[in-house]
Amino acid sequence: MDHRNDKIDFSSPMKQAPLGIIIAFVDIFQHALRQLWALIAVLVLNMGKTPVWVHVVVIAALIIGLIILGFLKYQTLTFYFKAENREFVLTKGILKKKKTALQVEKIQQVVLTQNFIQKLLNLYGMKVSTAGSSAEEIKIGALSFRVAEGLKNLLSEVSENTNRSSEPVAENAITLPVSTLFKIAVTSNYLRSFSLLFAFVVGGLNFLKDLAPLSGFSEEEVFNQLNTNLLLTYLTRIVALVLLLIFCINIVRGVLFFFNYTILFKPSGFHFQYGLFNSKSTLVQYSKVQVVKTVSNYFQRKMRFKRMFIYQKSSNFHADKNASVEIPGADAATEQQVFTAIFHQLPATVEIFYPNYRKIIPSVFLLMVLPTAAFFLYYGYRPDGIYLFLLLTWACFASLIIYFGFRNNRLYVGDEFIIVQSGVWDVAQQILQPEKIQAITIKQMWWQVAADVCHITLHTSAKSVRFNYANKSMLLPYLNKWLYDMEKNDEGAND
Amino acid sequence: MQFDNNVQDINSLPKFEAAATTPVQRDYKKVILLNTVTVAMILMAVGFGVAWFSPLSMLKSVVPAVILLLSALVYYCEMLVFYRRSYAIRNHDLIYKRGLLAVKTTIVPFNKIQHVAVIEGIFQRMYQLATLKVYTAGSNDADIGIAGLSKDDAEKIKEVILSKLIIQKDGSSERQD
Repeated sequence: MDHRNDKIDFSSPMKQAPLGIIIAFVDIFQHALRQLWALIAVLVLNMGKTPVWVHVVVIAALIIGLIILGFLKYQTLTFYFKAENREFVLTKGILKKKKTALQVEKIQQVVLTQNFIQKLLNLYGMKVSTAGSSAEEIKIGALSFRVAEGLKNLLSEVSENTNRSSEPVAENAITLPVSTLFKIAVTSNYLRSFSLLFAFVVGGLNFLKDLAPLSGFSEEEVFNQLNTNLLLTYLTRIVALVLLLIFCINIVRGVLFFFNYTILFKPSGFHFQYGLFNSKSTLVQYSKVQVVKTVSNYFQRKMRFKRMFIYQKSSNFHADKNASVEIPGADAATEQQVFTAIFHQLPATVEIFYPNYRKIIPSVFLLMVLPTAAFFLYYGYRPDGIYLFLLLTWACFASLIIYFGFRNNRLYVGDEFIIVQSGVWDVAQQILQPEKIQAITIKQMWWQVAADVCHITLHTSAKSVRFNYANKSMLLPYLNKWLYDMEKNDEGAND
Repeated sequence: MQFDNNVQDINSLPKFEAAATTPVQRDYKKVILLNTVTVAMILMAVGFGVAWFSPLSMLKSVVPAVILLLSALVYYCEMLVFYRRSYAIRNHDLIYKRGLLAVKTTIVPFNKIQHVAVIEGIFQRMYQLATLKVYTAGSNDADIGIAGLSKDDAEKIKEVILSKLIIQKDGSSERQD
């Protein structure tokens, strides 16, 4: 196999794999379903009224039209590598031709994907994204394995040559076992589960409210029937059931999504591969990593692993999520390897800053004063068991959130690292190096001047890292040091 | 060869908080006034139009009064903000301070700047003023726009930043070769 792999000529325009017609058709079909749902609804609603042949003709015409479109789309998409300009060029469009040329130096990421249909047809999708002011992206839907691998190697090789890091990282591979993925899936996404549950309970109560007038009882009567006992027995059962369901979905989703998660440490960058049905392969260059975030909660800390998020330069700030790559379960050894690959050392810090106690004021207002006020405004005051019970439960819950949110918030400062820690249940640490910061903003409200408190924002080209309610005069020397770190390369260039 | 790796005293580094900042041009107050008056006039026209066709005759007096009051308030706030707007240029970075209730200081090193632009509005041009916009690779809120610089100053700062950018780019390309 390998001897056929080595020579593919990308210099002249080429098309996708022939089966790409099917991919293009499916793509257009999905689009059409989304666009033409109204027409389809009309067809379905008029099922009995119009003769059958009208439906057959309309549907047949639609499908034939879509097949022709798919074929044209396949026919018109070509791509090639222009060696003299070092550009990857993609031309597409049926009526309006669009030509995209990506300079290879600017390529940020080459991702191979395989969704279910692509897997059936043994084809690969490729996504090439760049950084910089002109955010361009290229997507190709159907490539054979040979072409996909060839292109990926070509594009990453050429851009590697221009961004080679000084110390080559030892080639190595780590695969996460299913047991780790399972543990992660069980222990994470509490917040999502909780918000789903909350939405469910609120929806249920509203449903009861709407039902009340229909059944001939007044709203008050229905709610009076709902005494604490009844609530506790029925609600706990429903809550338990929903939680169980969410848990199962979380686990299945987590395990399948990250199935066979492999990190390859290549000389120039990481190579992440994962997924059972939709497999993904992502390349991230070490030198382009801006911020690393580790997230762990109580259970995950007990089991000694973290979730890691690697943020790289992005030009698209609204798609912050796309700019990060997740390592779903990293034990201490994996974490160390990832850090050494990116930073050439482990993050070390010497000093800790804690936020000022004033940090809790807005959270107390937002989580306790405001909801309580809204609650009383909406329901009025009733010396009722349920009301007091709900209020007290909320107060306990909110104070726990506020307490842990305050306790976990810290800023660690070292010679070469800045770590901002935050979070209530999931404790996140955002790790960055001062020289990667693009700009610093210090914000101070006028009433915080006397308290010597300020908020700092460290803008990197991947995301902004914030630390609020810091002691200003203690932090100022470090801010100046970070500025020095950011600017010293400038000096080196001038010498 | 002597290699020194002394403990760096971070208190001896240049302090950004000690840099003397320059306020923007006083003429910019006139620009603020003109801007407010223009917006108020447009709002007046729309407001009158709506009030004219409305059955409530009371609106004809209430709408202009409200618009006038709001415009005066906006102008007053803008004025207060104006006095808090200042900037400083150091050897390696640009400092921009602004804000009334929340004083924000943003420091952008020259070597992190991607792009500089000098923008002149109609009213700014009347008083030879301009806005200097500085874009970094950081998130959008790291980009700064200093309004109310004299046009010469804005151009000069732009030149300084551009020359730094060119020096830096040359340096890096040399290192690559």
